[in-house]
Amino acid sequence: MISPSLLSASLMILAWSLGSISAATAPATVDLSAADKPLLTVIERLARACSASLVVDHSVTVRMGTTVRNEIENVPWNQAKEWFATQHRLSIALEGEWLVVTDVDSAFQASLVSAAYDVRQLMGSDANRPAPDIDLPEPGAPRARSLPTLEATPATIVSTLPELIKTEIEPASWNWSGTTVVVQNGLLLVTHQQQVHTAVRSLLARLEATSARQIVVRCWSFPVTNQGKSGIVDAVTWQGQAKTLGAPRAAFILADGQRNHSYSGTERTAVVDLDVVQGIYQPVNQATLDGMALDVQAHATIGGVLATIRLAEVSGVVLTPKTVRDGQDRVISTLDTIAIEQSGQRTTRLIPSGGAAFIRIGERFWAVQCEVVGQPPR
Amino acid sequence: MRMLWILAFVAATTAGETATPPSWADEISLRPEWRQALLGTVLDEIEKKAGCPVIRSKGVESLANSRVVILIERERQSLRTVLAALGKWQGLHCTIDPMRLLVETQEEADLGRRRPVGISLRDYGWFAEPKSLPGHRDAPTDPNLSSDGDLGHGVLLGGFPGLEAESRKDLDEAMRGTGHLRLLATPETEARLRNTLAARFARMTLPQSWMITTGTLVADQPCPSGLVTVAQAEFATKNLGDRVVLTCVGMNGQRISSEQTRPRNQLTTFDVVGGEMDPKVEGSNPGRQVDLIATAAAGVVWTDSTPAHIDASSSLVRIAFALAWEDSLNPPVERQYRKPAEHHPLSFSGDVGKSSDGSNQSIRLDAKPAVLKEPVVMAVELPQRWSWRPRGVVTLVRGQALILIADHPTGRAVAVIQEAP
Repeated sequence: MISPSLLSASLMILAWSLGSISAATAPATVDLSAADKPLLTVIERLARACSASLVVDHSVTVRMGTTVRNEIENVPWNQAKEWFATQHRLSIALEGEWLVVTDVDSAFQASLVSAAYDVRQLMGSDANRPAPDIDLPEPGAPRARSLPTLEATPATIVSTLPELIKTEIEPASWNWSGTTVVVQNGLLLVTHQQQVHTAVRSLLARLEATSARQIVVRCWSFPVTNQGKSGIVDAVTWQGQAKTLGAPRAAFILADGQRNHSYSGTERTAVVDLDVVQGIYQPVNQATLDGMALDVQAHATIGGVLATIRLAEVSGVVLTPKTVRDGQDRVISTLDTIAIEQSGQRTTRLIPSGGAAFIRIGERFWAVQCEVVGQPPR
Repeated sequence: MRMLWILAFVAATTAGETATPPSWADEISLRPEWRQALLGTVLDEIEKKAGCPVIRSKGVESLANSRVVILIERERQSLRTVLAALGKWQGLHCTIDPMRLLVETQEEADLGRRRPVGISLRDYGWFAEPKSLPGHRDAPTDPNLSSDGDLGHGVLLGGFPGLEAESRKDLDEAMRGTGHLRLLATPETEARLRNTLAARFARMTLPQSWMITTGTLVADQPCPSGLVTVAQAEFATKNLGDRVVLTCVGMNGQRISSEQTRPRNQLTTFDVVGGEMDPKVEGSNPGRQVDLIATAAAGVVWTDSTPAHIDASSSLVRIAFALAWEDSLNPPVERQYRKPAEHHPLSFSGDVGKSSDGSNQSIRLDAKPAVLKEPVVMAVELPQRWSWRPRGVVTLVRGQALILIADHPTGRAVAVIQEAP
């Protein structure tokens, strides 16, 4: 329960506060005209027009005695503020019930806010990952390596992030004293006004949305039929055709513009040669690789996915052992002869998102589907 | 602001609690019209209105006859409100005591309020940043999988506002080694500093927990792929044969790894050394391994205008991953190599000797026994390994999973990357 006297006191205080907090408002236009009057007179008139109390920062009180002579009337509020800033280096602002007059530079310094953003998510490089060539067996050649070293070409946005921010967000303001934008160890440190921070957050969100644009690549193979004759089909058509094909032979993901691949296969060691060393037949081993490599570099465009496709398959590897026998028909050594089937194609296609491009190799079709995930290009 | 105070007051009294009575400074009202008045004159006027002594600090006293005040109220205000405006725009600090009013410059007030503060940076995880934890030495490498877990080391506090030069020197030393930070700071600066350190710690230790399910599928069986929902991913994993689940749990931005492998050795070939067969052994590591770094979307770590926070609304996670899956195909191909037997029959060697006069002859014979070296047979295994090493970077919205598929001798190999429940 609340006592009547306490409630009454509360309501009185509430009424008093409501009466006194009527915030000042800027009029549409103001009168800045003065005939040899001190600047303070003009500013007091401005405060009255705003129904505001007036307070002047101690650093600029001296300037209030400056004599003003002009005939500027009916000036829009924002232009009036600009006039004070350029003519007298004064910042005029309404804060609650106050018209506050400060030094332009001090006001800017006071409005600076520092914030740190964790931008490690944007730091990862979308390095290209080209597929390994499928090693073809060359008898007598040095031992093959199953997966050659990948050559990465990392390109990270973070090194250019400060420049990007300076270019995109209030470019002229970054020369002002006190503003900073640096990136170090995954942290973006920005000191600027609040509206710039809002813009920075918006930019980071936009960059993330762009980095979230990815392309899913899937690949099937099937005997030549009529369904692949069209060369390229759209998403709806392909969805209907793919229903009977089961799981794709390859499914992987890449960032917009990135090169990535899917490779799986079997490495078989074969004895491809025999050296005679001190009367002993010494085997020379070599790894042969079979399997499928699909290498795609894809760009999401307004017309679909522009995909450069490199497809290679080595299959039907047959290792036939051949024996070396002594005079008594005893096996003293064995080497393998190798037979393979190899197919491949390199091509560039414009594929509608979710649609598929058909690649005919011999009596088989390969269907490569590219699906844009995330914000599509507009 | 005052409105909020009033509402809080009403709410408090409604709840039956006792509100703090307004101080005498709230009961006195005045309507100042100080047009270029000297600070000394203003303080005299306030003293007269307040009816109690206004104590001026040395700094204020020195400004009394030079500092000009312009403050024109449009209506009567409480003394507290006027003092607040005077403090803010004249750089003063007013303390309202029961029997007096103390007026200092802001610098004097801050100087008086600064006190020694000790902060152990180690309490906030400084020097304990999650380390990169790559997997097996043969683990897949990838340019995206580089992380030292650092987050703004150095830059975070380097530009921290409110610290004096001496404190900055201490800060540098603390960051270089001991982690014990000693500085002179106001309670507000200390609170902001601790807030910043805590926010960095929270961002750094944001947990990341991911599950990688690998298995095989019959080729004709349909399976969703690419970016799918968690429900689709769970459906897909249920149908997998030879299923292996690897989990990676770590911190935001940390490289973590998991593996299940069966390392083994195979005699794959031999050299010929000194006419003998010298076997050579190679190791292989069939099984499944994964290294990944999961990084939450860019978020605000701290700001000096609002309480530090982590942007929890952001739901993007960037995952750099490298998987390695290797199966040994059985049975291994075996080849035999034979070193033929060596027969060295009984043999003699010697010479015929003559006496000095040439009449006597002698024969000396050395016998070498017959030797039979048995043939040597060396059986070598020729490894046959199927492998798949998908790598990449994927940006997932929370609730999404990634399904990768490749050919496998039994049909299809499937890897599902999803957040661990």
